[in-house]
Amino acid sequence: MTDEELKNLVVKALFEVAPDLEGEDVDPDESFRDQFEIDSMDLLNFIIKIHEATGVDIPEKDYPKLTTLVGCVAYLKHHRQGAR
Amino acid sequence: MIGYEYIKRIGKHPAAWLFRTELHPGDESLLSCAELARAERITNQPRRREFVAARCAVRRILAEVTATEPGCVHLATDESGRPYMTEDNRYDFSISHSHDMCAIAVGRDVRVGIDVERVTDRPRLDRIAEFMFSPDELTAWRCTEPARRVAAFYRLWTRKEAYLKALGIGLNGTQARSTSTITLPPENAQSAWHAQVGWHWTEPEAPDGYQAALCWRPSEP
Repeated sequence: MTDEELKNLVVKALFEVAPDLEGEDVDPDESFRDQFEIDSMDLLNFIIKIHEATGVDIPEKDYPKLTTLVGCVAYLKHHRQGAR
Repeated sequence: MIGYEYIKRIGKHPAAWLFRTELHPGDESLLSCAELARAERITNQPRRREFVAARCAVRRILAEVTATEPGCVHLATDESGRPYMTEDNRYDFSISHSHDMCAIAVGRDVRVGIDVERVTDRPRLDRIAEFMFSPDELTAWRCTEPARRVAAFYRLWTRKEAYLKALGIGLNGTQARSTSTITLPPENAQSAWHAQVGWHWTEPEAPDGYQAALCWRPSEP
């Protein structure tokens, strides 16, 4: 997957767990919480969705790495190799 | 008088408010520069309004509790991202909001956490439970009869989230939490647990479609 494809996958997952955000611009460097006031349950749901879409196991200690779009893409790029 | 629906006060235990967020003209003038900057970064307007309304509400409530003016309430956050009042560290408070519902708890000489959630049968509820609940909690939840399972999920989620917020362990912050390694006492054993470690839970009555929980314990001497 290219960075662009990963980015699209992450944004799609975000909009699926928070449908009211559909169509919003996502600042790649801003945390989802600061940008959209994402709550704990939506964030957890988002991480599960990312896991289901990519097959990448995401341990709890790594959740803070998935709080921005850039962070998600970098994490998935790095870990997708191991998930294959 | 503040216009928020007041729901609970027991002696010196925390008071809690649960109300629908509403923004009033001039409310933003109550916010600090840091809060205004954060509000500006929330691009979704309904979510931005909910953030501003909740922050204004907590200032009004803290002002009433501490007999001062809302503009004199100064808030900061500690290393875990937990907010506190800089003028008076005897008071602790917690904020939660879910869609248009806001919950605020304030207590003196206590450590407090509150959570409110809109009850919806979300996709992947079972997967969320696997991540959030401990093995014992998961087993107990899965034994709930199917018709009550969604409600039971939110009861446990809010009780646990309120406890984690009181502890200052947050999923949204920079510190990951090991939620699945923390087991809350079963509801029929809470009095024994309270005697052991001092934590209390209550469930403030919430409007239809919402579930709320309040958790607290006396501050360390």
